[in-house]
Amino acid sequence: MNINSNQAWSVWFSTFLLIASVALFMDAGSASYSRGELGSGFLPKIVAASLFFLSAFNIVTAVRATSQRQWLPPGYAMALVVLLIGLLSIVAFRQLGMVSALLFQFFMLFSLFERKLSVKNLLISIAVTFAIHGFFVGALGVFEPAGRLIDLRWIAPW
Amino acid sequence: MAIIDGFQYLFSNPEALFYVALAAFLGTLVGALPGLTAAAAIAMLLPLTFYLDPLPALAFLYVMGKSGRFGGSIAAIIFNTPGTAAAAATTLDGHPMAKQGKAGKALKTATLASVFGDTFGEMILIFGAVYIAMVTIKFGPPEYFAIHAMAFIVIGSVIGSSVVKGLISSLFGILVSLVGLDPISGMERMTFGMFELSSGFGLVPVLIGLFVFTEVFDRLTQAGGPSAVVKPITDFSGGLSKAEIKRCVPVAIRSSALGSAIGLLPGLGSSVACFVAYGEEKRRSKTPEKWGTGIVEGIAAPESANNAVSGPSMVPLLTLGIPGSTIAAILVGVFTIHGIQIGPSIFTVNRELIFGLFAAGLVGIAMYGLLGYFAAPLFARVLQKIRPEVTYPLIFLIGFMSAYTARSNPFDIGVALAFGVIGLAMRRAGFSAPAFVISFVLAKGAEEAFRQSLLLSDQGALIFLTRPIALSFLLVGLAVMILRSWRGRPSRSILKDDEMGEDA
Repeated sequence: MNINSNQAWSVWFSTFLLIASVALFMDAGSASYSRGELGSGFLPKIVAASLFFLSAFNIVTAVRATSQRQWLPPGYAMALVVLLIGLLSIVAFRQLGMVSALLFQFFMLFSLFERKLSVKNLLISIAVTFAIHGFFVGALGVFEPAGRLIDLRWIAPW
Repeated sequence: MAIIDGFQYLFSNPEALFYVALAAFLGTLVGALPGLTAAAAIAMLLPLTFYLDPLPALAFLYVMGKSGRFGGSIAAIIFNTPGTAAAAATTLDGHPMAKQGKAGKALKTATLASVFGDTFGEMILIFGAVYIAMVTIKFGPPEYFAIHAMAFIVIGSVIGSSVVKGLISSLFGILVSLVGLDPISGMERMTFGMFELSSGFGLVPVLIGLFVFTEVFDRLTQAGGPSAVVKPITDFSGGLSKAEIKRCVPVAIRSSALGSAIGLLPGLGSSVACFVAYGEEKRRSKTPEKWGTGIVEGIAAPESANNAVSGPSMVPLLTLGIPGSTIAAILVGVFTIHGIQIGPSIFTVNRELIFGLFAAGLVGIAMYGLLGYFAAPLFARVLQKIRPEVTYPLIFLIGFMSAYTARSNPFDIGVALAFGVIGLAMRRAGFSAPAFVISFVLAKGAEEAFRQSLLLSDQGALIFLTRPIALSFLLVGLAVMILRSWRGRPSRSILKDDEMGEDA
C-alpha cells in the first residue's frame, strides 16, 4: 500500500478520534478531586485530553507527509458496503431471527467475495431468505432459534 | 511437586481433558487457515467457555493459543502465507522446501521444533513464575498502578509503526474501557444517555470486531478479492534424517531460549521472536547463503522460538496481572468471568487450578505434536480444497453469532460491526489493535489501583514518586518510550505492523 493511502486513512481515523475524544470528554462527568477521592470523570478526562492532543499531532504529521491530495482512502466504498450488509443483517435478525439473518449475510458476503454483487443478486438473496424463513415458520411451525417470529406488520400494516 | 498435583487434578477431570484435545485439534486447524488467527478463533469461542468450569475453560483457550501458533506453520509451508503472524519467518524456508517435493519433511520439522520450543517455554513458566510471584505479592496499589502505567506506555511504544500511533491506540483502548458505570460511585459516564452502554462495551464484541470482522473486511477491500492461486502441493512423503535432527537440536535450544526471553517481555510476542531467532541463527551459520533456499534449520529456528513464547508470556499475566499478548488479554477476561483474581495470590488461592492449567499446557503440546506429526499432511490436503469465498462468509457468520451469544444482546452485534470498521481503519492507518485490546483489558484494574492509592496517600499523586518500586516502573516505561522514539522503527518488511504483539 502506498504512503498516500496510508496517510489518508491515518487522517480520517485520527479525525474520528479527535471528535470522539471531545464528545467523551464532555460526557465524562465530574473531574473533582477532594481529599483523595476522585470524581468519576477524572481519569477519563485526562485520557480523552491526551488522546485529543496526540490525534491532532498525528493529523498534522500525516497531512505534511502527504504529497498528493488523495483524501478518499482506497477501499472505503467496499468497507461502507460491508457495513451496510451488517446493518441489514441486524434488521433481519431483529425482524426475522438469527437463522434468516445468517442466511442473508452468507448470500451477500459470498456474492461480494465473488465480486458479483448486484441489485439482482441482492433481491434474490432477500427473496431466498424470506422463503426459507417462511418454510421454518409456516410449514414446520418452528420458532427460530432466537425465539422471534416474522413480524409482518412492518411490511403490511393493514 | 506442585506440577504433579496439577497433573492429578487435570486427569481427574475428563471434561478438561476433552477440551484440551478439542483445542489441540481446532487450534491447529484454525492456525492453518490463512486469514483466521488463533486470537480471532479464541474470541469467537470465548462465549462457549462461559458455561464451563474454570479449568476446562482456561485449558481450552490456552491450548488453542499454543496449537494455533503451530498450525500457522502448515499454512506457511503449504500456501506460502503464514496462517498466523508467528509463522511469518517459517515461509522463508518452509515453502521453498515444500516446492522441492519435501513438504512432509518441512511439516515434521515444524512439528518437532514447535513441540520442543513450547515445552521449553512451559518449563520456564512452571518453575519460574512461582518465584517471581513471591516478590510481586508484596506490591501495593501504587506499585500495581505504576506497573499498569508502564505496561500502557511500553506496549504503546513497542507495538506498531510509530510511538505516537501506538500510544494513541493504547489511550483509545483505555477510554473505551472506561465507558459505563463508575465502579465506586455508580454514576454513568460517557454513555450519552444510552442504556445499552451503562454496562460498558463487552470484551467479546470488541474482540470479534477487531480480530474477526476486521479480517473479513480487510480481505474484501483488497483489490482482486481474497483468492490467491497457488499450485497445490501433493507430495507429503519424506522425513528427517538423523544428521538433520542432530543439526537442528542446538538451533532449537538457542531459539527456544531466545523465544522464552522475548515472551517474558509484554508486547513483543511470537511474531517478533520468529524473526529474531531466524536472523540470529542465519548470522551464526557457517552457510548463511543456504538460508531461504529450503533448509531444516530455517524452519526449526523460527518454529522453536515462536512456540517458546507461549509459556513465558503468561508470567507477567499471572505474577503482575499484565497480559503480554492479545491471547493473554483474552484469558484475563476468562479469569474475571469465573471470579478468579489474577496476580501473585493466584499461586496460593487457586494453586490447584493454576498447576492444572500448566499440566493442560503440557498435555496439549503432546496432543498437537502427535496430530502434527501424523496428520499434518491430511490437514494440508483438506485446506488446499477450501475456497476463501466460502471460508470468509462462514467466519463472519460465526463471529456474528458469537457477538450476540456473549450477553444475548443485539446491541453487541452493532458494537462488533462498529469495531470491525474501526479495526479496518486502524489497520490501514498503521494503528495497533493488539495495543488497543491490551489497554482495554487493563484499564479498569489501573483505575482501581490509582483510586486506591490516592485514598491511601496523604500526599495525593506524589505517592507514585515517593514509593521507589512504583517510581522505578514509571521510569522504565518512560525510558522505553524515549529510546523507541529516538531509535525509530526497526526494518521488518514481511511483518505487518498490526501483527506485532498479536502473538498468534
